[in-house]
Amino acid sequence: MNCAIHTEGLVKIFGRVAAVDGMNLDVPEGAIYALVGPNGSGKTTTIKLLMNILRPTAGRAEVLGIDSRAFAGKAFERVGYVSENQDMPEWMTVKYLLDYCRGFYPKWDEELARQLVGQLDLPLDRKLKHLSRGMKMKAAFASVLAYRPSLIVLDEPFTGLDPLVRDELIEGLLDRAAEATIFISSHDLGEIETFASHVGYLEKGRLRFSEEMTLLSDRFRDVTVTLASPATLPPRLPAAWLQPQSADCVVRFVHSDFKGEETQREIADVFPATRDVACEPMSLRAIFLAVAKASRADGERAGGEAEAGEAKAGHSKAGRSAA
Amino acid sequence: MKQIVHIFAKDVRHLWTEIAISLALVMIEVFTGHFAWTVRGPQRAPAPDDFLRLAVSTLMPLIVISWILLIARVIQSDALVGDRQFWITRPYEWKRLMAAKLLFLVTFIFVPFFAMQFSLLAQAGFSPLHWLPMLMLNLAFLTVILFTFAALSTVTPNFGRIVVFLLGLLVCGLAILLVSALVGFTAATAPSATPVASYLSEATGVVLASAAIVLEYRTRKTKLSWLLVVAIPVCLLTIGLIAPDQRLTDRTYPSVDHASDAPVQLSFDAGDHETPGYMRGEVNQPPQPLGKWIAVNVPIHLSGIASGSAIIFNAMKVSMEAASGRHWDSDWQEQQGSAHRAGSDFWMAQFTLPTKIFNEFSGAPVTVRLAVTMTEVKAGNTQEEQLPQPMQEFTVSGFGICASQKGDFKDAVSVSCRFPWRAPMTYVSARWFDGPCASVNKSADPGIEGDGWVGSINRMEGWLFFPVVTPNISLSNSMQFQRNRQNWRHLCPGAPMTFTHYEPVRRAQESLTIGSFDLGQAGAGD
Repeated sequence: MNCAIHTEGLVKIFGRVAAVDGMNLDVPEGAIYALVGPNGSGKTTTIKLLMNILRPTAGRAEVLGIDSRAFAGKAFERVGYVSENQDMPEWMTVKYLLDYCRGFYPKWDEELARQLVGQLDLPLDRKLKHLSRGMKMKAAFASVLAYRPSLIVLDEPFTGLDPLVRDELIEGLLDRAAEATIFISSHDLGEIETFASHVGYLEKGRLRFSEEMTLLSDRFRDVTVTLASPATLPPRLPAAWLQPQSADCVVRFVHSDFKGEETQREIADVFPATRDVACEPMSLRAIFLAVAKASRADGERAGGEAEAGEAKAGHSKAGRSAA
Repeated sequence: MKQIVHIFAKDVRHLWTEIAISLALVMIEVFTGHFAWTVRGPQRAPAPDDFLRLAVSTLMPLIVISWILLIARVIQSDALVGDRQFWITRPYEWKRLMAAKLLFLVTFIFVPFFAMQFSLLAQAGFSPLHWLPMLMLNLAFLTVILFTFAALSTVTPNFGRIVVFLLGLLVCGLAILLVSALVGFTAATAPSATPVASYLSEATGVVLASAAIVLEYRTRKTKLSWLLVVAIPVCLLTIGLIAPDQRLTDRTYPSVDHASDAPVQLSFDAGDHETPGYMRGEVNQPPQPLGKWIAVNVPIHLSGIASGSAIIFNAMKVSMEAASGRHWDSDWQEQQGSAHRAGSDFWMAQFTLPTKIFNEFSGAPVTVRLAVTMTEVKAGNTQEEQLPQPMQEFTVSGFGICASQKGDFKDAVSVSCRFPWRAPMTYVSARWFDGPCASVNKSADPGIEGDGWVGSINRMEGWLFFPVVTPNISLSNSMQFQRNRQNWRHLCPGAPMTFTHYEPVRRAQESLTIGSFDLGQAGAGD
């Protein structure tokens, strides 16, 4: 498998905070890879490392076979980068922006540029500073798609855009999907789900999972177990069971490693008095929330245990002192 | 090259307003510059051209500010600081981006400046082609200044930050001056006859600025580039402090081994003349309180200046020792004043010292050792001109273009000249007449000689915005004293005026020990 993006133990530390912490990532060529994660999880930092806007503290990354630290100049003829955080040359009109960009790309397709201007309904004679956020983003998209890049990197491109503009951008993007790898970071899980082929979940700088969308959808199930009689949750449950809850005769959890009959047997082992098991597929949003909440709960539990340990140590120390 | 032109064209389109303003200011300077040297008659009230002269003089800072703004705007239009810029994820080659910015500076600052100087020289009557090397040298000096601002622009995201940095630098400079004044630190002044320190400062400035620019464009490691930018003022300050260092001075001004080899013999003028020493020179003030400092005059008797030579005293270093063993050394202090020709026998040297030290040493005679650096200059061509009618210009070959200027009556009372870059070191003499020129019989009345010096040894030490200079030519004996009144003497048409050009032949250092020097009396009894 050829990878458009490949990272090994990628680390970026700001002060004492690891924004990206040992990331190993492979984005296959031709994929539409969605990097999702909560705010501050390190998505933008990851993209900036890939684009050589920031330099990694440790580890390495390759983009289109080039070390990210050497990614500059001509290499960008094959990459299109659009970010909500990018400062555009606001004084330019849309037409001048496209004319100016054309000079940098030997593979600039003027016909495609015209087509994109029409498709995205861009006002050519307006300056960027007079455009709405959505229009600016569309202009940025057009300036990137018109040279048919091999890799399109998008950092939160849909944030704050109205649904119509979002649809137009996604449409424009998907028209180019056959000839490019798309790497996109987003909060907009509903939209991502409709077109992403791969997804990675980033939390606190760590990549929790990274896989094909279909495999992920197959792997996660919202499981509802109906028992013959009311029961409490056993103290130890399989690690793949996230957010277990029970009420009377019903137990609910998210299974993060669903394997059909094997999972059915696993449930029967834990709850021998099972009357019915319902396993529902989950949306990306539901998977994202389940993983995020489970992770937060794990963190709180670990923190609580650590505090309890410290308190215990404090008590025994105080006891020794008193003795 | 295509990318360079592409970025350059974008910047021109973006910054056309700033470019137009800057070029307009330069054009105004070209068309009004001649007001700075136009000879004019006596005027008791401000004349319209006075306002034009004022306008011409205010143009220079405006043009320089417009350049600084242009530099900042063009570099920061593709800013290097930050991680949000549009261009950093586009196929820009750093070398080409840098070259595009350089092309912009050359096109809209260097070329207009060169054209302005070329035109002003031509308008002033000097051949710009003859002065081409000086024009190029001046461009090199301009590069130092502009590159410093370019370096600053590469490490800052906007013009506001540049202003903040410059204000910070100003505050630091003022703080250093304040602390120096409080602790009584003597700021040394380099001997001015050598431009070594000046050239070293400029070379250091341009090297550090260029390094910062290249580093920032190549790596965008702003913290490292900042270090280089901050190193510029630090290095310049250091060079300024070490320039008068003894070793550098000794090398530039070698000590004279034998007294007979000395270009001039120095001895303390103890004042056993008919006129006390301190009254005989042009410096006749008592010790001057300069805040916490006092200026002390030392009358020096001169002898042995070779015929056709003159001596310029550049700097002096003073060591004082009291009978109690108390010792004080000054730094090198620059000496102001004109050159001393053969036959001149007096020089009033001057040094400054903190009031506290002065008070400590002034109670009793002290031993003073003076180290004096000097430049011997030799007379070259002498050119004699007949003064034309007042206000009529005459060219003195190898010197400049001059004209005598009218006083209150019809006669000329002074001479003004203009020079390309800087006046050459020249001794000027003329004949004054007491009466109005119409009543003077030149064959019977030889008049009174008036003389003076103009110019300096170094033709160019640093950047000059205006390529034509008009220094004052002060000739001695210009006033006539009658019944407690002072009247101007007259320079009459047809009277001779001589211009003798002097060239430096050697630099030397001499010392003089004064065994018993009374600080209290040195300055004429304060």
